[in-house]
Amino acid sequence: MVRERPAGVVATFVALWFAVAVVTACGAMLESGIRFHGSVQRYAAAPVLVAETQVSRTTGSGEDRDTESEPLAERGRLDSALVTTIGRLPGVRAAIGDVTVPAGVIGPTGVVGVEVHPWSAAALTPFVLRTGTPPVAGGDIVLDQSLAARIGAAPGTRVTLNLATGPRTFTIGGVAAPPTTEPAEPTVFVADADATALSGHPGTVEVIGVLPDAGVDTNSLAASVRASLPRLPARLEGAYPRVFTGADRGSVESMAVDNAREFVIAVSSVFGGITLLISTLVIAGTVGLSVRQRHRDIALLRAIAATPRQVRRMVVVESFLVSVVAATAAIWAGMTATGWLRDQFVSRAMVPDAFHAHLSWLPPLVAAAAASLFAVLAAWVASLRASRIRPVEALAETSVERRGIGVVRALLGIVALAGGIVLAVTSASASGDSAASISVATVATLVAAIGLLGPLVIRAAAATVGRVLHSFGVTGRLAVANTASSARQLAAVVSSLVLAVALGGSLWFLQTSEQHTAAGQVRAGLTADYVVTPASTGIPAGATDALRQISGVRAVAGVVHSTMFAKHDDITDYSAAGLDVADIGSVLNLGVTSGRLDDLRGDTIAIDALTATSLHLRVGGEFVGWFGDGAPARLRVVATYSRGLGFAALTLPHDLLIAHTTSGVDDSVLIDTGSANAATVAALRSALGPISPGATVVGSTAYRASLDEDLVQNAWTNRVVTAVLIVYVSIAAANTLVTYALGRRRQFAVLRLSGTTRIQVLRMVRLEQVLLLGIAFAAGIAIAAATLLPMVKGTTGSATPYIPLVGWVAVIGGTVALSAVATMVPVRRTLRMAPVEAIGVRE
Amino acid sequence: MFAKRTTAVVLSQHARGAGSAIALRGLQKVYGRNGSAVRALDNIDADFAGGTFTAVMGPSGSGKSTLLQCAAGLDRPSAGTVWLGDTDLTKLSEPALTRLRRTRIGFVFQSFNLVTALNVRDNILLPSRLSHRRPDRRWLAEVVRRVGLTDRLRHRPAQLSGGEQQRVAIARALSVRPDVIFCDEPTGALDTRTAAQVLTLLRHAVDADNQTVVMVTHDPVAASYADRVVFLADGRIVDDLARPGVDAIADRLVHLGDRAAVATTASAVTAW
Repeated sequence: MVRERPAGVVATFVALWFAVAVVTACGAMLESGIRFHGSVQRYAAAPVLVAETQVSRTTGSGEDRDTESEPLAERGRLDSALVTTIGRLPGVRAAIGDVTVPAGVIGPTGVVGVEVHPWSAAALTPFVLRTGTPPVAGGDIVLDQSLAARIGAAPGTRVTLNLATGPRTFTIGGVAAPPTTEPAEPTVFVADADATALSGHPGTVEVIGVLPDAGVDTNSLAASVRASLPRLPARLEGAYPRVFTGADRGSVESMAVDNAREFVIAVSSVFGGITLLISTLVIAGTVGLSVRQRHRDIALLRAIAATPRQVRRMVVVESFLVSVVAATAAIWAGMTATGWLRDQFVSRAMVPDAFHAHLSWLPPLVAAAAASLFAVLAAWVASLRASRIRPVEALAETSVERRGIGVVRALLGIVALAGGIVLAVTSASASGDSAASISVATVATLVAAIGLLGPLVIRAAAATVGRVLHSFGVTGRLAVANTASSARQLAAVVSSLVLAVALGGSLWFLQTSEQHTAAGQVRAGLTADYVVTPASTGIPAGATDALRQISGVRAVAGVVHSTMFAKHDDITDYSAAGLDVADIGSVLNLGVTSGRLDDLRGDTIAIDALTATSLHLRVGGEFVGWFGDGAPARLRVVATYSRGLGFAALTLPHDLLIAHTTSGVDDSVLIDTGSANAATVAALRSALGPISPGATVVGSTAYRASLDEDLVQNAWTNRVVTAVLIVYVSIAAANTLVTYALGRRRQFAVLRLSGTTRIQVLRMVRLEQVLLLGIAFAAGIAIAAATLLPMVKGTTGSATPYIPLVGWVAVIGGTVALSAVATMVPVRRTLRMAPVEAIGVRE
Repeated sequence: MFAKRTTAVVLSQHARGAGSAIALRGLQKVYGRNGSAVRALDNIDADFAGGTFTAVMGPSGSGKSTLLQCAAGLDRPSAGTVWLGDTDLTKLSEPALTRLRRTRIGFVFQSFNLVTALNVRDNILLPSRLSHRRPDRRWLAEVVRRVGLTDRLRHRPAQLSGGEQQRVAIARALSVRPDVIFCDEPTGALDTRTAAQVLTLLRHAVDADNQTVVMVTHDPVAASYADRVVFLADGRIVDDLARPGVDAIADRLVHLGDRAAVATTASAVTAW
């Protein structure tokens, strides 16, 4: 069976191979993400830790009760009284509080990012003094060994630290190192009192490390520590101290761990889910077409007395075998892709270096099982019709399609159409991660509708629009007639083309629209002349005052960026920026739509208009949520603005937001100088030198360009997902086209023996393509629009998507080129056979 | 000459006689609906005795292929019954009909008989395999020897000539020892020598194994191998000759349309 019609089987094989490879990679990534706990080095000596690492919210009641958590964006703070409480518990040798103060050390090669810790926390690793003396309050500090080696320092050398309050010079009193591996981040130890002062939050610690007495079991220690913490309420709302043991301590050690895990799990489950969804359509199309093409072979078997059940079994088993072979071949590719993805994520700083791809047998098994299931189901459905073929049709010269499409198919098609429209309408309120999934689901449902109702659509199009082709003479008439009579087979071909057009159009242009709007908002909103970007640790608070003194400078606004959490869909995080309205003036134009930005003082907040709509907030309302460090926030809304995509969803008074960040420094400074003046810029640079070494002053045009690049960089994941999906559906479309073309040998032979020349046959095929592509574009663009427009309105506020010229050319031109190559090449090959021979071939 | 020809149809109107392998009663097949309805078979009654070689002849459109297909259970008649021995084919469900066809009916088409993916041996064994029966090895070897393809068993249909393919199809039909073998223009695409081989095979099966064969053909030479020739025209049986020679058959074929005119002339002559 296989040898006779390789094209259909190859198409099915490729469709299955691709699906298994991608789903395996996503599954392996998902598993790696779930298993990722980071490494425990800094707190290796403390088996039990207490910290706040996430903000949680319980919603619903009874059976629907659910608690969602999001990892904090800034380090959570614990009351230092807790340290004393835990220290008094039986079995506890010592409870030590730790804070992390980000800073920069100015070395010979530039600024090195370090973490400043209190000396008492050294016991948690443990760091042991190798040379020199421990830190002294207000005086000497201790460096870790590799940091000291890196910057060429030793006890007695003076070193400058970039702190939130500004640069300060210290003398190195000693060098310490742990007995085993050092923590990834270089460490600087200062006296406990100094650390508390530097953290900017006296009376709090970030982590409590518990050192047990000899012989104390970790689990029982953890239980007694947990019991000593304030009791958790029945319904969680906010950040609470929790106990960590074992590998979980990795989340405490590095904030990147939880965030990376969330990111990887989200991306891989969305990507994997979308691929599974799309692959059902693709596999159904290829399997269906392949079975339909073997119509007459199956009729012969029925005539030689194969029962309908035997025919069905044969088709299903064959499909199953193909899926097993394809899956086996694809697993290796999927595993390799996982490794590649991991490397890409690490190199783009989306996950920490400690993240490793964990390859187990589970994801490939699941992927293979899913693909086989789809293949078998598709084969079974296709075989239902095949098994009902009357044996007498084996004797017929040609097989003619039945008119109409059957009640079941029509009903399913209408249901799919209705479902797709509903999805499109509800997608208007989608946002963020769910946007991509919903748009793909909408496209998939509508394309399924096209596939099911396809024959009707094609025949209708041939009857109406096809008349235009009649003006092309006999080849035109033939083209229309062929299309109408092969409508069932062509439904599979057309739906694969529609899928390619619709998916490419919606996914790709959703991104371009978002990026374009964001870039446009930045361009319109950023009216500053210069932007100061820091080296590594941000710009200390004092810098803005110093810069303000420079002549020629009209306005200086320091901006701090963070994240905040709101009670929406359980918990959603939003980008937040803090700035001083007194300084905004001419450096930033947020496009205020209601309220007054001048009122942004004290416990107030300004919200981006779209975000405000989704949070059901207006000027005068109250924003209830949490800051990035888990502290509760109740802020009065004083204004809404339109340029949230380009700037931040939430804007707060500078000092309010900065108090809830770990670093306590500005992320950028916007400067308005009136007239661009080389002397002013030079003065700015020299003023910045001592305050924030390594900071750069960039003209706003250059800054905007770099932001554009950032947007593109951040969209890398989206682009990879989109690219993979588009490649997949394009290959599937090409496959169906080739399969269909190769099955027309006899048809062309009949035409040629009736007097049609080769050139005329080719012309007829081209005209058929015009008709098919017309239908595919009409349906594909309609579906893409139905998917894209509500989404674009939801994410950018305007219903007009931004489609670059490249986009139009790629989608339309690409589909035309694909269709041309995939049809004309096999057709030309088919025409090489002499018609008298070809007519003897069983169709 | 006129005496030999009869316009009456020779068949048994009463219950099918013992030894009748296939019996058709009131068989009708209509294609299409209402105005464009085409009557392929118009109230056919026929018996085909066991152990005989019958040829069914007629001009194109006479319904001979349709007759064969209904008798073989490949198609369902619009009305009437088909008896294969004691079994009423028209009452069977599709799977049951298929199972019955596997073991009790053999069919040879004009072309496209074989599954091109399988070799000769597998093609011959296909019906037995489909019915999960163990093939009788000795009978199989005998059948293969008879069709003269003992050394071609491993070859594919693409490597065989048209005549060899037909012989494989006959071997397949013979291998299950069916009640009846139906052939639809088996020699239509063959040259005279190969056609003679194929027809001799069929004749031998009837003579040596008491096989029943019903063959549709338009070739008088092929029909001359048969014990009985049934003539169809416009969906009706119009004549039935026993052991006719080639000339008689050819003559009858040519004048199939004339019988009405001849009858009128005859009656006019006798009346005069």
